[in-house]
Amino acid sequence: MTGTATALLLAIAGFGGLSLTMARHSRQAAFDGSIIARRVPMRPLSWLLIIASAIIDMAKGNWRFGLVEWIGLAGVAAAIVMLAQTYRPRLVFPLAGAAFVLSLLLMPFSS
Amino acid sequence: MKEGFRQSMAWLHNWSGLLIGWLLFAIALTGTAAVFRPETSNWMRPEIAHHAGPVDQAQALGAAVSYLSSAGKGAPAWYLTAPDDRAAFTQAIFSLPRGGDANGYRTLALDPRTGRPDGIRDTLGGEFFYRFHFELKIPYPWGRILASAAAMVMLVALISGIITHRRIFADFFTLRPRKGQRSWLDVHNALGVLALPFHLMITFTGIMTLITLTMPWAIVANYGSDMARFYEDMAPGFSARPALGKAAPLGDVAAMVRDARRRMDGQISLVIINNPGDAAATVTISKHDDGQIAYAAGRVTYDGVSGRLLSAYAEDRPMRKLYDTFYGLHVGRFGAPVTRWLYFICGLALTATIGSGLVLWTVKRSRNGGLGYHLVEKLNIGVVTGLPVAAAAFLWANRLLPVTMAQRPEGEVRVFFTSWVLMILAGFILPRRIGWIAGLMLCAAAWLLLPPLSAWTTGRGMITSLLAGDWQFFGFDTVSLAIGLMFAIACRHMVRPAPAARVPRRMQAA
Repeated sequence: MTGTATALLLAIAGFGGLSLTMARHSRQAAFDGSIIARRVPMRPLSWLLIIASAIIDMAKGNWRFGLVEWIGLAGVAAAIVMLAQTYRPRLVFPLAGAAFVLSLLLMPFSS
Repeated sequence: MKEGFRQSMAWLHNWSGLLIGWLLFAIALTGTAAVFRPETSNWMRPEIAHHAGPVDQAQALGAAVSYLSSAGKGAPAWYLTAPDDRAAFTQAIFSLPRGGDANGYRTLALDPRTGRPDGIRDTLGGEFFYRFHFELKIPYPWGRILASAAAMVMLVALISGIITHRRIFADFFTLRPRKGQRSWLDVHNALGVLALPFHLMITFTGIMTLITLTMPWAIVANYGSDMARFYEDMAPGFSARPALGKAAPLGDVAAMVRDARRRMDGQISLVIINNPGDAAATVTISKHDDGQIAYAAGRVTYDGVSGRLLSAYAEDRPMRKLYDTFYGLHVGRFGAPVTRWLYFICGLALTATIGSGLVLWTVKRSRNGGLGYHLVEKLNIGVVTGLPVAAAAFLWANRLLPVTMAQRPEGEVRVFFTSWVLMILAGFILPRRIGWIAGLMLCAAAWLLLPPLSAWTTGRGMITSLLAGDWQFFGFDTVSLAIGLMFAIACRHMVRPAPAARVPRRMQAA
């Protein structure tokens, strides 16, 4: 269960970050990417989080079950980011950040 | 045909989607409901008390067999499905010389403790949605062929849809509410693309489940009309011996179940008892499908009288395992409950993709588009709001029809179809806007009032369930409320529409 939660949080962080690299959404989110973009490559980092989410979900038990579950989880995570971008765009960056921090906290317990 | 590749794909997507859309909507909706088939079956049999902790499969099967040795006497075989983490009852199917349904079969839900069907209301339960999903209540094999054809058109619609809606990946997180046609397109695209891997998987594997029916040529070439030999090769280990005609009492089935559980390391599911009461009786016990994606993974057969192990079969032929994996992926009975919820959510997304696509077809065309346009518009109301109302009516009937009513399962099904037909008629009679609002309102009311109705008629309300730790009943009622709430929100959107925003010309192509 913790593994699933970690994977979901990482996917939210990943998709949230990815959405902030898109011109329309970063405008919506009133997100000044220039500060971060100069120091961290936002787009590759977001993809890395999404891949990490998949790996964690598959590593927690039977990887075949994990893969099927992750495909569903990724959709849910992307839907959450999409709804946030639509109705609470300013919360997307805090949401992605919080999801990332929380996933790091849960990671030791997610095997 | 049409000018460019994309235009021809758009044409294909529009018309394949429209032609089969209503049928696909029904298939997707009932398929989504079938994800929780055992849970629905439990909810529809409230007489079976909630039982905390794991069920004793061996004890339940033993009790069922001792009941059937009198009630099922004379049947050539008993097909039993053991209760498990999800199903709260033993299902027994057998045919008797007299009585039963059109095919002579009788289906009973047996209490796992007593092994008896006494007092448990007669219903199809979740089985109804499951059967309708691929048989459409049309006689064999035509219902299955139609469902399979619909799935094939669905695959065409999906692939042409990915090409048509080319901006789905660029607009991955885009949803622009209250902008008329633009919003419908965004919703259609978002629901389609967010669960796209699921949509492709479920459509393809759905076609695969009926492939021996729709593409029988390999079987015909190799086996001719000898279907018995085909089945034996396809699923070895189910072999029954001919009856000897010599009576002999059945051995200790509970002990065989315990042995099978040890050998197959986990829960068991299907138990087939051939020639019960005969000296040549056999008991075949199948491995449960929660431990691996692939469906029929293995089975063991015992001598029914002595309990001696006759054969053990574990599937390891690669092609058969691949097929079983497709099948298992489609029915989604493996893994943790989370997986099932994700199947349910993705299934709802697929249903809503189809529904929004149907609405989009009318929104994109002018209001005075002639007879065809009006037909589509009216049918949309009757299907998109009518089917959820019919499904709710089916559950209402389960609670309201007298428990002792004769032919009760058929009564429930009749309520389902009657309310659907009435909704379609209402869609045709009422003006468009009133029709949508009334339909959505009825959906909201029917689902929101289902938990109180259930509490009033069974005494197993949400608070009672919550206090008893009965997560299945609590979950079912919660989902019902959530569905009702969703329709209430949709209805509110409909009552207070957005100012009709003009959509720029260049966007209409997407």
